[in-house]
Amino acid sequence: MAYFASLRVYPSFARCAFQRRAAYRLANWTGITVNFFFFLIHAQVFFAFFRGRAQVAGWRAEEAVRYFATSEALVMVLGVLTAQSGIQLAERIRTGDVVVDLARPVPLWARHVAESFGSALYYALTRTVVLYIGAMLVYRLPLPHRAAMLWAPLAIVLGVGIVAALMYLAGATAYWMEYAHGPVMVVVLALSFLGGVMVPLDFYPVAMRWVADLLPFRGAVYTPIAIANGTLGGAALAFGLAHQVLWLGVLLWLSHVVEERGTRRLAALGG
Amino acid sequence: MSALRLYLRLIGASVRAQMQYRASFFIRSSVDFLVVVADFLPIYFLVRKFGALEGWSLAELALLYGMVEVSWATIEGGLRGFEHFGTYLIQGELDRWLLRPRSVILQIAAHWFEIRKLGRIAQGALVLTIAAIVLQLDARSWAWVLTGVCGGMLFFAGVVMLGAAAQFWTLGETSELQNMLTYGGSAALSYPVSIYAQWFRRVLTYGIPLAFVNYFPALAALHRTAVEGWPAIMPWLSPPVCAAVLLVAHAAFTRGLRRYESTGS
Amino acid sequence: MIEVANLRKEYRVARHHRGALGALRNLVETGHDVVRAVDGISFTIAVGEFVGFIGPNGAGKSTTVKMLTGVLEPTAGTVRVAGREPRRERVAHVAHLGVVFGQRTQLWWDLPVIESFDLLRHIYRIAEPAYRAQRDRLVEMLEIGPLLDVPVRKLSLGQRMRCELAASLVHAPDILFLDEPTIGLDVVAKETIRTFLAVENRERGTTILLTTHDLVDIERLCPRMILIDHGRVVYDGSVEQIRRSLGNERRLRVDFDGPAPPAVPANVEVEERGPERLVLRFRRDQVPAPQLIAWLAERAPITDLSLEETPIERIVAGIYRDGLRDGLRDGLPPNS
Repeated sequence: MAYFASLRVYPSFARCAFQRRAAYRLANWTGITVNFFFFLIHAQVFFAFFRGRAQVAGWRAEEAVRYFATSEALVMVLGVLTAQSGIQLAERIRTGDVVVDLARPVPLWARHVAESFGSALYYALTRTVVLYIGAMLVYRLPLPHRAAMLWAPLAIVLGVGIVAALMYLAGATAYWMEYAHGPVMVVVLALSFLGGVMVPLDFYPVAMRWVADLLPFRGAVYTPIAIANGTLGGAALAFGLAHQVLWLGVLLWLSHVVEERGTRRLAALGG
Repeated sequence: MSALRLYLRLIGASVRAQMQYRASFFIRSSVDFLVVVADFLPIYFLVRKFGALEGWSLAELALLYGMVEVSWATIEGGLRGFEHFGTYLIQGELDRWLLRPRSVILQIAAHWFEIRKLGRIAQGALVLTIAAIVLQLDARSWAWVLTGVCGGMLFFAGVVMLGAAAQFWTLGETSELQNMLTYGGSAALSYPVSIYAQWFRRVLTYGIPLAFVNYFPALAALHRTAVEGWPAIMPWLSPPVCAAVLLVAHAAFTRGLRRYESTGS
Repeated sequence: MIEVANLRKEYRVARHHRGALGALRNLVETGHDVVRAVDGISFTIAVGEFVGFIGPNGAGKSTTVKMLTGVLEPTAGTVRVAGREPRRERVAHVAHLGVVFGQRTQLWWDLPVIESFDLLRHIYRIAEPAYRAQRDRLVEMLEIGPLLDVPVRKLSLGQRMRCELAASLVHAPDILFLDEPTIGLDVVAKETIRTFLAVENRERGTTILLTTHDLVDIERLCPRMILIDHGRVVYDGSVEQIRRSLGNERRLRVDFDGPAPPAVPANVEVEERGPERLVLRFRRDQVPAPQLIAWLAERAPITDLSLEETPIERIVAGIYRDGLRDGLRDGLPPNS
C-alpha cells in the first residue's frame, strides 16, 4: 500500500509540528499558568463539594482532585478543548490550499495524525511534568498506587490518536459544508462533556454515563486520565483500553473513507 | 452618540459579511448554544450527586452561571476585534485604523461581531431566566442581577482591552493569559467565590476583582451578603470596580498605542 | 503643503542570539541595536504637486510615509502637513488624507463595493449630497459602475484597485498617498489608473505622493521625484533633469552600406563591431549626436541608424547600486 511505502515521512511531520510549537517560548509559560489556574478552580470546587463527605460515587476528595491534576497535565497533550487543528484543516479545504497537501503521496489524514503526535510530544515534555508535580505539591496529594497505571502511556497514545481522528473528521466536513466550524465546535464540546473534562464520568447519572461509555469521546479524555489517576483497574481497565482500540480503528478507517470521498468531490467540483 | 451609531453600523457590516454564507449562518449562530450542555450540565450532575454546594442550591448556582455567561459572551461576541488584536497588529491592520479620522479603540471594537456568540448569550440568558423564575426574584433582586450583568460586561471589556494592550509589547504570545481571565474567570465564577480557599478568595476580590462581576451582585439579589460574611457595601462597589477595570485597560491601551507610534512594531 | 525638515527615525531592535544557548540568553538579556531607518530627510512639497517617491527596499520610504501620515512618531525633526503636525493632530490630519496600499485592501472583503463606500461616508462623516456627488464622479471616471454590487472578494486585482482608489478619495482628500498602486496589474489596468491619477491631480489639484518600483509610473506621472537610499535623500528634482545628467549616456547603432569605418572619434566607445555595423556609446555632453552621425556618414554610406537614451530604470538601478556619487561626475548638484 502506498500509505506505508514511505513510513519515514511520518516522524518528520511529527517533528515539524513539534518545532512549530517550540517556536513560542513565552506562550508555553503563559499556557502553563492558565492550565494551573484551571486546576486550582476544579480542585477547590471538588474539595468544597466533598466537605463533610468521605466518599461520593466511590471517589474520595483526593482522588477527584488528583484527577484534575492529571487532566490539566494532559489536556494539551491530548489536544482536547482546542478547535485549532480541525479549523485549520477546514480552512485549507475551503480555500482550496488542500490540493497541495493531497498532491503528496501521503494521505492527509495520516499526516494530520502524525502532526498531532508531534505536538503531543512537545506538550508532554514541556507541560505535563511541570503541571503534574506542581498540582500534586500544592495539595500534597498522594501518588496513585496501582499497577494498572503502567497502562497509562498506551492509553494516552490511543487518546491522542482518537482526538486527532475526530478533529480530522470534523474538519473534513468542509468538503461538503461551507462552514465546518460547526462540526468542529460540536466535537470540542462533545469531548468536553462526554469525555469528562469538567467532571469525571463517574459523577454522571447512570443513563448519561451509559451513553458516554458507548461513544468515542471518553476514550480521548476519561480513559487515559482515569488510568493515569489509578482509578481504573481490572475489568474497567480492560474495557477502557478495548474501547479505545476499537474506536481508534473505526475512526481511522472512517478518516480514510472520508478522505477518498472528499477528494473525489473536490475533483468533481474542479476545485 | 455618533460613535455608538458608527459602532452599530460597522458591526452591522460585519454581520452582513457573515450572512453572505447563508447556509452556515444558522449553524454558526446556534452551535454555541450547546455550550450549556458542556458547561452547565456537569454542574447540574454534581449538585445531583452531592446535594448542594455549601448551602448554594442548583438554582442559585445557575444564577451565577447565567450572569457571567451573558456578560462574557456579549463581550466576546461584540468586541471580538480586541481578542484578535495581536493578529491585526502583525498584519499591519492597525495602520489602516490610524489612517481614519476616528478613535482607534472604536474601530477595533467594531471590527468584528462574532455571531457565533449569539447562541452562547442565548443559553446563558435562558439559564439565568429559569433560575430567576425558580428563585422567584422580585424586582429589586432583578435589578441587582442586571447590574451584575452590565458590570460584568464592563469588566470583561476591560480584560479584552488589557489583553489587546499587552500585544503591543508581546506580539501575540500572551493571548493565553487573557484566556485565564476570560474563560478561566468565567469558569471560576460559575461557583460562589465563598467556596474557594481564603487566599484564592482574596485574589478574586482584591487582586483580579472577578468577584465583583457576578458574585457580589448575586449575593445582594439573593439576600446573602451578610450570610456569607461580607460587608453590605460590597455589592454596591460592583459597578465602580468593574468600571475602574475598564478605565485602567483604556489607559494601558492608550500607552501601548503611543509605544506603537514611536516604535512602529 | 508638506514640509519635512531633518526628519529622523530610529528603531531599537532586540538583539537575538542563535542556538539553544542563545535562546536562554534571549530570556535574560535585553540587548538592543539602534537602526536608523530615516536619517535626516528634508523636502517641501507644494499644493498640487505630483511627486514620485522612490528608493530600493529598506531605504526608508515606508517609514517616511508613515511619519507623514501620522502613524509613526519621528525620533527627531519636524513634519508639517497643511500646517498640522500629523502625530499630534491625527484625527484632523487624516480626515484630509487618502491612502492606498497596493497590497492591502481597505474595502470590506465580503460585502459589495458600494457598502464599503457607504461605510466610509459614515467614518469620514461626509454629508449626503457631497458624498453622492463625489462618489458618482469617481464611479464614472474609474468606470466601476458595474462593479458596485459585486462583493470585493470576487473582483479581479485590476477592478479592485480601481475601487480602492475610489474608496481612498470618497472624502475628497487634499493629499493622496499611494503605495505601489499598480503592483501586479496588467498593462491596460496600469494605464487606466495612471490616466485617472493624472486627471485627478490636474483637475482637482490633489497633491499626490506616489511610492512605486515601477518607474514607468514615475515617468508618466511625476514631474518631480524624490529618491531616497539609506534613509537619506539622494536626489530631489525633475525626472527630466536626472535623465539629462545621469542618463547622459547614449547608444548609437549604425548600419553601413559596405565595411564600417575602422576608427571612431575621440570620446566614443565601440560597444559592438560587425562587418557592416557599429554600436557606439558616448556621452551626450561630450559628443553631439548630429556631429557624430555626420562624421560617420562622411566615411561610409549609412543605410540605417537608431539612437537610444538610457532608460530611467537603468539610471535608477545605477544609483541604487553605486550611489549617486558616480553619476555626479557630470556635475549634478547633490540634494538639489
